[in-house]
Amino acid sequence: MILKFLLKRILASLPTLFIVSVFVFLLLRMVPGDPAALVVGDVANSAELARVRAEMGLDKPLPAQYLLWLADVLRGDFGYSFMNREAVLPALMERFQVTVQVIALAFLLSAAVAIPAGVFAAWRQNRRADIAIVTSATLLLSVPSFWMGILLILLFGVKLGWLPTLGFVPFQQSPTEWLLHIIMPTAALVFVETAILTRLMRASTIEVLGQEYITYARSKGLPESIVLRRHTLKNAITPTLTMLGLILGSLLSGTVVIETIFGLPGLGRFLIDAIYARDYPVIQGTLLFIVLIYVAINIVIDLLYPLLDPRVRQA
Amino acid sequence: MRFLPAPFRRPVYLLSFFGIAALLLAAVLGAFYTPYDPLSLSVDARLQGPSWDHWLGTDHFGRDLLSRLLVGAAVSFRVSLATVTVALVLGVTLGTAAGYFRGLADRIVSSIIDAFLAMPGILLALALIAVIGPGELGVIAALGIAYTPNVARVVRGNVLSLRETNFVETAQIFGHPHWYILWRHIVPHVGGPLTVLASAYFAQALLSESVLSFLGLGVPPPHPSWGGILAEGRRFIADAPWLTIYPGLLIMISLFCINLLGDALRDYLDPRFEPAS
Amino acid sequence: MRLALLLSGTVALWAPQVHAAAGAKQSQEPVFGGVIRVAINSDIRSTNPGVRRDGNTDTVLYHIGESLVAYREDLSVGPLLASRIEISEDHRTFTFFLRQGVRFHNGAELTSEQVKWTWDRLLDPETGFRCLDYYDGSGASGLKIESVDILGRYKIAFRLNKPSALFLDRMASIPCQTPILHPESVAPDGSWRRPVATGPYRLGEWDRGKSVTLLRFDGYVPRSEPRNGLTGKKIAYADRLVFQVTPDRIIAKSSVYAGNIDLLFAMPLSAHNEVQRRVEQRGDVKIYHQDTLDWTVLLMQTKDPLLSDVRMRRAIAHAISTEMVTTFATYGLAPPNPSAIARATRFWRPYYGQWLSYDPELARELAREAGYEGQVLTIQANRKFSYMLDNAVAIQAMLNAAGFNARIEVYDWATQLTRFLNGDFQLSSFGYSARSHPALLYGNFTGSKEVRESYQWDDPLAIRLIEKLETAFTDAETRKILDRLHREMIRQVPIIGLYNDHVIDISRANLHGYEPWAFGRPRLWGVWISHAGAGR
Repeated sequence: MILKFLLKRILASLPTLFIVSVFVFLLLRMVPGDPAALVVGDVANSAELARVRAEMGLDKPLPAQYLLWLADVLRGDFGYSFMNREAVLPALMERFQVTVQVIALAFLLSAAVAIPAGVFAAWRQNRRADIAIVTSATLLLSVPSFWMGILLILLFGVKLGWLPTLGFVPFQQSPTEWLLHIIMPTAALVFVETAILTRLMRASTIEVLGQEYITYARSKGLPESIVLRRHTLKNAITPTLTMLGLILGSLLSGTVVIETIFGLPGLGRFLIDAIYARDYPVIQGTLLFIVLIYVAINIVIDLLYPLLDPRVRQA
Repeated sequence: MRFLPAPFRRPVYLLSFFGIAALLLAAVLGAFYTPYDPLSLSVDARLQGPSWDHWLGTDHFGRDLLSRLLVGAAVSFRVSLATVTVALVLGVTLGTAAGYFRGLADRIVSSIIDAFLAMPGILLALALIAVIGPGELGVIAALGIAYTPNVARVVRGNVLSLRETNFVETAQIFGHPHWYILWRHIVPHVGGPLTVLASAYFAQALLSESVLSFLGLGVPPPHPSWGGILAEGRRFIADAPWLTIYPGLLIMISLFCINLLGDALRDYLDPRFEPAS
Repeated sequence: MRLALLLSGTVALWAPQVHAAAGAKQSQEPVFGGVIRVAINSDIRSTNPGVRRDGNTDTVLYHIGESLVAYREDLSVGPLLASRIEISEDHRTFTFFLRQGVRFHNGAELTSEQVKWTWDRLLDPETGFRCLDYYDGSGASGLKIESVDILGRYKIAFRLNKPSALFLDRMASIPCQTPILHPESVAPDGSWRRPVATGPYRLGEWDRGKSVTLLRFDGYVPRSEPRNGLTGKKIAYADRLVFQVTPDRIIAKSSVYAGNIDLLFAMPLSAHNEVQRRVEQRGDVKIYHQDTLDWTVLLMQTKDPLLSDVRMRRAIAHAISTEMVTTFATYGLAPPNPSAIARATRFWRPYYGQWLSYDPELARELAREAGYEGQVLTIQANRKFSYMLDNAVAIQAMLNAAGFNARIEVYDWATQLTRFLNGDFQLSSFGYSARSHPALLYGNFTGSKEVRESYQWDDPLAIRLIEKLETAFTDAETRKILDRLHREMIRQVPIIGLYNDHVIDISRANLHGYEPWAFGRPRLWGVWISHAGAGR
């Protein structure tokens, strides 16, 4: 049953993946800027350019280039970077680990604040506490994360000298160093995420609080804390969960700039560098990878959905 | 304040109205009058801190920051507004087509929407700018296209549910042409959610333009957008922090006001709204 | 909104500055050990010198490998792995006598065998040597290496197809570096493995996207004369050099402040005030100033219908005060230089500073004469190199103040570079990277656009003069040709030279023995970390 569902969902996502791959491929080829010229650099000459183009496979017609790439990708070979001959897939995985750590930490921190804040605000809907929470969330939502990053560096890195401003240390190497390096980039992201999550939680909690079973639970004389914790929270989280894919998308977008500012070797910077360098295999591979993750997350959420929402389970 | 609908009477919302009005006024003012020519260079006035002559200081070309921010307001708002318009026009067209006609059209549009939603918007915009070309138009087109799938998704959802309503079915039974049904019965009902969406994307566009400037591809100099001023000023953050702080603050205040306005609109359009006591 | 250029007050012209910091107490006794962490703004391309390269790759690799010859501090060429060089009467045969007892990183001794192997490999088109056209007859100079002959265990001769005064300059080139490698550097199938060379450092680990670590080569045999450019006595004090990839310069600077980076080279000048203040107030960092060979220019497409008219180009030149552009873009730290002869070379003389006067009225008149009627002039620029954008902004303001209708288009660097290579621009704010010899720089932008679209100065006389530089065997002869070239530049205005870039490097205060030089990239031999900060 679940397997059949899974298979169906995977098949249904194939068009998405296909469209993305074709679109990214065509878009890249339309972008001016010759990767061969960049690799050859300032001592360029036409014979050398032609040789490098051939080496990169850029001399073939476009459909042939696409099919060759697709065939390789289907075999699990994402090709090699134009710039430093690094194999794309392992590089992606390595960069992704860094990004995931920042995103996961930012997400957990913001969830820890946002879920109680959102539920509380909804519970006190239109009262002073709600207005205060919603207004602060809106304020946080309005702080550009890169600006926040710059100010954090100025304050904690340069003026006070408490935190390192640059780079990444793997957790296995030194947990304290890891934390010191990851704390500022995470903080720069946390504010906006907390704001988004709080608003989502508040909206879905308001929705749930309006349901009949809540009125019923209250009429049974259950204390509000139990109503909130047992009946409301669980049902309010579910719709938020369905937005997880989009939230992660916004986090990924956010990390692009944050990783640049803090010099984190993550997926976002990898992609930006590749775009500037016209490193086609890296751009194609990375975007496809991001879309794969997005699709996978949505499938997982769909699978989890019936487990979390009793109403769907019954139906 | 009696003339305002209930949700808008909240103090924070009122504040946001005044904020937006002030910013718009500044943008309009900037088009006619600035204390200094925002583009004229002066060797002697380089990197001066806020003073009586230059209220917000000067940049590394000796240009007056206040004048540049005033002109920048117009640039930033113009870009954001145009971006939202592009996204709305494209998104409503695609979303309505998909939601109303369903079938193959829906399948195709939905797949495309899904594909685009899966890509981080800012990166999509970055690649699009590279293709379309730099400059204000490039930024508008790129961001507009990047936001289109989101708009289309919301519109499609709304149209799908509207399509099942009685008045649409009745209209179809009466044999009204599709364009008439769409225009009379569908588009007006999508208006509410779209207004909220538009305010959210206006804020997003303002932010994204500054991110693009930061990454090196925003509105080109010398005509300054806030993001552009911020991105350029960052080089001097220790020497001239005003160049980073003021444009950042303005972006933040604008986003705050616009987001609050969006909240007010949402509350207004949301039937569940209960006025605060 | 009317644009006006404010010319208020005095134009702060360049004035040589005295920089106390660089001369900080060097009385420190050198100490061995420790790590020197250097920020590089992008990852290296490969460890394969001259093949898959860029500026950072070159910088890392000249610590690992050494060529037969290398630049001295004054940009003349001196022997490095060679002990001496004999040049035949006809300037076609160069005989290199190798230093004896030099060891490769794998312990093998350097002999003419490996020199020949290295050069055979470089000259094989399969290798993909980036500068093959320097040596295979296909380049502008037509120079070709006819043979490389082993004449003894430590003696090897290069035979050229024609006389050349610039052969050794090319061999010493940093982008086209030709370090002598041991055959173990490549796998049996010819693919690249890792550099097994003779430098003071050997490759440790390359952690892609993050850092490159070099380890001191204990078997290194230094030359006896003092450190000089890329040659002379090289002593590797630090146990390890770590080149840390740090794309954002501003963050890299903060990292020097925070002690996470020991040396940051080629900082944007925008930070110089702030760093100088820190040097004076806290004293935990040092600042180093240097005029480089990089040449910043405004390119003009002479094929453009408007700009093909020399009066129009002159009009533009008269409309731009190169002094003001330079002051804005270099914060008064560098003098303007309208000529392709870098101030840092021994050939520089004041005549090369002469240029068309700043005269907006004359500019208007000339433009009118040339039939200019307010058409848009587009200046291409990018934000990757902030000085190019600064130049463009200043130039645009000046052009508009002189009645032109100039506009800036900001591209990302890849697009601007591709457009440059295709000649697809009207005006372009651009820069030429360091060339040690004026002839090499002139040769880089002079030639027929039919041969290469990226040539800027398509003029038969200029091309002939540059060919003559190839066989100018004395400095006096070279100067005479350079004078004529500059005179022609003033007459034809094919390009507007602005200034030689000025760079600042910053380091932690406990880094000693470091000296910047005209190439604007670091040399980390003879450099040590004093005890206070060592041992990290």
